[in-house]
Amino acid sequence: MKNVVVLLLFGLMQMSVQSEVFWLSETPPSKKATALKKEPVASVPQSEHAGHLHAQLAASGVAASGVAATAGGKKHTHGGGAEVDADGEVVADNTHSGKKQLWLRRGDDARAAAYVSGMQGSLILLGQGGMLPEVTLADEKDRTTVKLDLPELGFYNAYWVQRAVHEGMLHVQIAKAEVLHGTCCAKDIDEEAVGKPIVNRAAELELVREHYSGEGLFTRIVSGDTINYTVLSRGEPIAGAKVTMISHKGWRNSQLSDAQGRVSFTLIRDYYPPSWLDFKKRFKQSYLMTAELELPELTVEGATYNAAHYTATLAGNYYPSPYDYRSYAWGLGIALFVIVFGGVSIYLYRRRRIKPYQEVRVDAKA
Amino acid sequence: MLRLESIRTAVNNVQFNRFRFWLQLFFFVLLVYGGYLGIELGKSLPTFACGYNKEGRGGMCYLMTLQHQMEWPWQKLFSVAGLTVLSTFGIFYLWFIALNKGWCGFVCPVGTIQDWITSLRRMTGIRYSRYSWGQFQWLAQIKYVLLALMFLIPLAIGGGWFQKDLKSPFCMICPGRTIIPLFSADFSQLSIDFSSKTNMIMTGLGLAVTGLFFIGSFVKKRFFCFYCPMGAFHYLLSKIALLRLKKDGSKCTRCGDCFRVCDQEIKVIADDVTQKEIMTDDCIMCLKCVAACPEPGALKATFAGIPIFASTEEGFIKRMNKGCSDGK
Repeated sequence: MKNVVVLLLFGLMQMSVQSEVFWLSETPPSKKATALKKEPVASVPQSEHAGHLHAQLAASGVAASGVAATAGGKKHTHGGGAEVDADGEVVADNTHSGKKQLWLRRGDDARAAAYVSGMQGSLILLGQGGMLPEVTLADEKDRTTVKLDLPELGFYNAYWVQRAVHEGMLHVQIAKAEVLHGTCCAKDIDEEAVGKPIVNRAAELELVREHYSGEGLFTRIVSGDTINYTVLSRGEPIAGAKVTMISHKGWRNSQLSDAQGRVSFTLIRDYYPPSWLDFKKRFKQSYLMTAELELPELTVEGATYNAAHYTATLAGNYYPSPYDYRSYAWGLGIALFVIVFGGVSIYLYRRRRIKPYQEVRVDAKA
Repeated sequence: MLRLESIRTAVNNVQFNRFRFWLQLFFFVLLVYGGYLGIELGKSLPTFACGYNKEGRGGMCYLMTLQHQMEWPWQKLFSVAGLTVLSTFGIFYLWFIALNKGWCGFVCPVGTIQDWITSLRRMTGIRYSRYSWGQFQWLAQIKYVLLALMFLIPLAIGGGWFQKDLKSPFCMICPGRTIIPLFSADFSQLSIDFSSKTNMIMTGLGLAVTGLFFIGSFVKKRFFCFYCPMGAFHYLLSKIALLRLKKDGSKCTRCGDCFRVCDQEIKVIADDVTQKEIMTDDCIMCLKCVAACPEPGALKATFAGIPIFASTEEGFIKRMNKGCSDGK
């Protein structure tokens, strides 16, 4: 009985540690979301190690992405302007803007994870050209957030790291955000070059999304798409890392990375509005990727730990697939109907106008 | 002088249909596939170089840009940002005044497709249809109605009266949107969008118009040009255009050949012997009338006042003989 209780407590502790994932989100808090107050965690002094780790990240520089592009057709789609968030509010699509804002969230619910408040520290920002100045977290309306000003078009990675020690085990959380300063009207820009994913060679654990070939600077991921990720540790692929995808509604799928560190997930459709009239084709859904890696006894910066547990997170957005609301059958049917109807009408009209031969008899004697 | 005269004679006596065919083909390839060669003529072209042909287009139709700009919220549209609208219009106007409505007759890909459909009909031996005078008069107003709606609906969207689903209303019903991308193997515009009632109606209407376009172009020459709001827009701006169609009424014998060959069935070109500027709102400046006119100098096309193509008896005979030999 005692063993059962211990096991239960251990399981609960593991779950609580697992569900304590932090991630960076571009989705602003809804008016209904409530901030989560900062809770003290047993850790090495945050400021020392955070700064040290950031220094490591900074020194590594940006790696040329060795992540292969996912084969597939060009996915560039025209923006459309407005999107609909989970509360049904219309929000402007700010892909074209270089001004972004990230919020720190806690929990593995892609839709309802709490927005954290009171956190301190800074984010490392990496672009194609290398590291950019660190940006400091601050509280805005009781939510920890950071504002980014992305100078040029392209993808940028933002990293937030937290370290904690619990019973001799080092827990490291690396929350990553892949932010895009995009455009749907790229001119004189090598979209392939600026649209490549960025790898951080200093990150102990990192998820890198493989971009589609021809993704460019404006592509929407939709449900039904297959997304490939590579799990890297300090720029090298890691096999056997547990990667979980959590969809907007909470559907989960977990896989272990293969020898090349790759995992592949298909975003399922989980947007089913109560009625068809409520369907919004620009409904913005979030999904969350988490990767976990456990390492045995190790020494980090002079400190020895029994084990280390690394968690990397990366969130993304997806939209309803066009196949959910577009029909070629109806389209071709209407066009063909008009062609056939019009053609038959014109034929019958012309036939009616042809006067049949009529013999005319003239009575010469009359 | 002798050389100039010989050039002029050669131009006036050119096999006009063949020349026009190759010119239309050139512009079709340029506007539909030019993007693959890195050609980008901008987003203010006065012709249906469809913006939905994302990969291959060598330039974009101004109407799409115009509708997008008209949809801006009024605070933006009537502010300094509105200068963008004026500058875009300015570029469009500069393009336009070079060729006047010759953009319709020689450059427009949708017009070219209609001419190809007409050739197909001719090969089948099926005769074409014509409008009666009454039909001509009231149907000719439709393009102005479409032009007005093309301005008013986006403005209403900007003013918050209509939803954004109604964006680019003319593009949604234009056959160019559904047909031109087909040439780049893009079939996505052939679907109905059921995401909202508005999208469903507009895309449904677009495909109905596409069906109408095919059957209409088969039996009526340049069927869609008669209803095209771009043509109406051109006519309203054509006062200072460089390419002009002129008639010398004193040389006209009222044979009616110009009317007979006119794809748009414009009677005025044959009946009016007083006006010097003979281009009407329906005219597409295909210059078939000039090619078919047997009277020297009765009809001519001028560029900045310089005659570039004039009717000649020799040209008429040469072209008619060619037509006769083609008919054998």
